[in-house]
Amino acid sequence: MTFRTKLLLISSFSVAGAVALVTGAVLFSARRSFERIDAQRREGLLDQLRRELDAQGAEIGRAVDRAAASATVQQLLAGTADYDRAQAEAESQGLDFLDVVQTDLTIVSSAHWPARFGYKNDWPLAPEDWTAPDAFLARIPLPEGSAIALIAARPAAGGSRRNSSSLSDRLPACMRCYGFRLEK
Amino acid sequence: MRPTALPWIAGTSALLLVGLAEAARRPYYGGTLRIGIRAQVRSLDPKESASDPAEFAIKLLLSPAVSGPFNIARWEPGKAATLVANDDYPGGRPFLDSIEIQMGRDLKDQALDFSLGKTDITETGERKGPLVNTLALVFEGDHIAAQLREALSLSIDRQTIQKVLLKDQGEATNALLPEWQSGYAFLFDKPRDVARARQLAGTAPLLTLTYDRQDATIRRIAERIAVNAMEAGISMRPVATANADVRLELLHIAALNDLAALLNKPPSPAGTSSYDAERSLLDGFHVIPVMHLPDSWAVSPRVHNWPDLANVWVNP
Repeated sequence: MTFRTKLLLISSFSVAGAVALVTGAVLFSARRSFERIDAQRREGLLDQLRRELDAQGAEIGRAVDRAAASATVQQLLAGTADYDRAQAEAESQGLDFLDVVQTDLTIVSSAHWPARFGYKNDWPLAPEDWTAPDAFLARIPLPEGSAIALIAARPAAGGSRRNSSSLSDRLPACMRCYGFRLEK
Repeated sequence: MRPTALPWIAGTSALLLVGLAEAARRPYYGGTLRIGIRAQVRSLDPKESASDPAEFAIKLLLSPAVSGPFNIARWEPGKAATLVANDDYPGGRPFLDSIEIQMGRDLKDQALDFSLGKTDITETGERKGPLVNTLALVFEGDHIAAQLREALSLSIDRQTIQKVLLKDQGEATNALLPEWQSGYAFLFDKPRDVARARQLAGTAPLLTLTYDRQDATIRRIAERIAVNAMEAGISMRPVATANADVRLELLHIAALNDLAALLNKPPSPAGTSSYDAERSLLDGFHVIPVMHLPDSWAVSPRVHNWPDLANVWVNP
């Protein structure tokens, strides 16, 4: 091998090595910056979703408060209203779903499934969820499958009393479907 | 004006009011009674049984025995009929000039016609009167196992349906004929037994259920039956098509043999007791009685003495 050839090979390898190094460094830094931007965007979206959920949750909480204080719910708990009156109340409060239940979770009236009155509410909730002040996400059974919903539970108090038990120990549970149904 | 005239004026006014009230109660000759029904009566042959209560009522109305005070002036099968007063009726001419029957009007149209005063009698009213209909689940064929059919029957909470959904109207039943007609309906009573129903149902396939979607009462009962069935592990899905596994149907009760014909069953052999005939219809749970219900007629306040055709009259 002549000196000229050796020199050509060495310089070629040097140039190729330098190009590979620069390319690698550029790729690495580009990936890092893309990942950083992606993470920021994801965080932004999650923040936005959390804010949206909080806002929706607060709105649902207020709607449920109004429903709990409404004459319809009081009448339902007093046993003086028709079993399907929760539908009208849910509509008037802008709630997609509304269940009025007793403390033993027996459904007095259900807006989204009127035929279920008299049965136990079977939402997969922990006991503390029933007294949680904030709205939360849960999977709710429906006649045709189930749905993910943002829900809030509130106690109903007052109203006329038809028997000796206090009505303040009964809970209406209200919820709002957050938008997507999981299964049919 | 003299004060002594006041009692005279008051007395005259009172007499006038009493006279007006009396005149309002007095039958009025003339006018047309307008009836709207959903069924499309195509034949007046009394041998052809009619399951739909309104169809049955109209066929009865158009039968010579009942429509004696009237003659059929126009008959368009499935569409319309007009009856005109029979001047030669031995019992005397009826008050009405004519009766117009519009067929094939769905319940929404009937309700609209009634509220606009276009119809005097529709099927959209409260269920009142004698229990002349049986609400039953009817299975088509044998492709659903008898055990599953029995499980469905045991799962239905008839009492709650009667108390809550029907607000004490009708009568919960396990029999085809009501107690007033047969006298032995109580012998078919069977209490609800969800545990046994769950045992019988096992891993039940999905059942499709069809019912009259226009009738809100029937729809609510069908939904409740589906919830009851779910408790026993039987899934029921309502479908709009006619060829479902089971249909919830309101059958007009005439006689057991008519009912057998409606259920596509052979009539009972001669000499069979009514109880045995009904028992044979119920065996196998191809038909599951749920409730006995009265007819549902909305009658305009301008109509008097309905359904006594000879004496029906309408306010002018």
